[in-house]
Amino acid sequence: MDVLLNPDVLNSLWLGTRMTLALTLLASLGGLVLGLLAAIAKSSRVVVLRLLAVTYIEVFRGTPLLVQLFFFYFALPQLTGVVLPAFTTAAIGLSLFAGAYTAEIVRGSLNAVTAGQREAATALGLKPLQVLVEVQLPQATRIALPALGNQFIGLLKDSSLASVITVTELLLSTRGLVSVTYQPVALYAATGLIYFLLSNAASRIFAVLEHRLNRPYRSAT
Amino acid sequence: MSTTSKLKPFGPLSMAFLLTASLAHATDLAQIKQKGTLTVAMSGEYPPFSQPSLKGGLEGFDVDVANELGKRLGIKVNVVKTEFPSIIAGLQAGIFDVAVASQSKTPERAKAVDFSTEPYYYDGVQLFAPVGSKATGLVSLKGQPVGVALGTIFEKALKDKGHDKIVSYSGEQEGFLALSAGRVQAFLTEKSVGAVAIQKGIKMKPIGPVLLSDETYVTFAKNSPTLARALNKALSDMRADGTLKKISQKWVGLDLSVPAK
Repeated sequence: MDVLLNPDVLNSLWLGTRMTLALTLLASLGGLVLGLLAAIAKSSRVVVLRLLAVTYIEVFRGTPLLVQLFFFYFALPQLTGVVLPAFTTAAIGLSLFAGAYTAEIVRGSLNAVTAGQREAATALGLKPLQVLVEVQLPQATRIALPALGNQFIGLLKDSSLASVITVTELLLSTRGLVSVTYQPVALYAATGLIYFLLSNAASRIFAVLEHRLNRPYRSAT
Repeated sequence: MSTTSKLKPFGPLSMAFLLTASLAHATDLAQIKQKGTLTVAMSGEYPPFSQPSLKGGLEGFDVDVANELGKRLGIKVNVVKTEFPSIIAGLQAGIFDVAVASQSKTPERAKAVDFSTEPYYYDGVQLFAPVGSKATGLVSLKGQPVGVALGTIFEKALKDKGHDKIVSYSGEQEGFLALSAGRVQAFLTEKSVGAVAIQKGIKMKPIGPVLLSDETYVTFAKNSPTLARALNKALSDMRADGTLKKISQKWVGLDLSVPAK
């Protein structure tokens, strides 16, 4: 277990953790934006938008993340000649992946906002975009929060797949450490613990967020 | 006559128990014979030494050597595919008895496991670049990304030669793919591995001289004297009667069982 007391090992784990967090945050934000756009497009009256959204969601939900990352990293340069750095490739790949699932979460939460809200808002003269942004989304956010929290925590672990396209996040850092120290038990235990602590912290943050968003709905005690 | 041997590496519970035991687990010849199978580890991602076989399982130079060793020791051989960086830890934990995995001897590895007294093949470390590359050697690639497989001596060789832009992949297959995708400008690996890949159609060429000679050994857990004796004898017999040379010719087309002239 004293491999964990080695400052180089700890430093490597720390850098890996930072990378994992960076990927997760970028992918969550990217996924949220893409998901929002895709959800709106899928509910749109414009057929082309609907088709685009459905295609995007089905393709990225229907293929494994690993295959997607491999494709972006190895095949895309051969097909388009564009070579992006590994980190960027991973961030984009993870965002597209997350966006497809987030789209359905957002769409579900928008559906859950009572239709009366949209009708009342329209009757009051609000334009469709205003209705969405000022009436529907705020209410939908509270409903979507548990599922979005799930997404974030899932992405924390999914980011480990970026290790196969050479991004030195936590898992690849650990594999590299194991290959030079021959201490897989201690190192994988430490890595598992780090992922757990990160997920746990995220859980708590989302719980606080939920509590805050619930404020208008809490009955006075 | 040991009745307390806890050698059932394939029961999941026992495996978990073995993994949590941080003691180096010695698996000596008598216990292996009692078990009835010699578990041999290799990466399976290193053609022509170990590669997946179309009939399932693995095939290659390393596989043939493993099977031949088992034959001479009189034990059935079970070849197990494991990712290369985990092989040594697996030997220490007793999950594998022996590794015939094209491993080179390094001081760090020698502290963790024992090596056969003689290498089972002699090769060299070679840089490969895409066919159209203008690079002439490691020096001409200064500052450019060069690929290696994770956990290999090639990684260390690059660092020793002062090259710092190293990208590590899980195996040679990803490495060659990365080469053709332009992710790395060169890939460092065993001379024969690259040569066979070129034969099979990978569009790359060797650049520069052989960086250093490479000898690969059979490895096994420490404190296994009877296993060591038996393996070393079997290996030298294989070399003396030409079996090793035959296996080498079959898979590589060259005799790697003796040092290159």
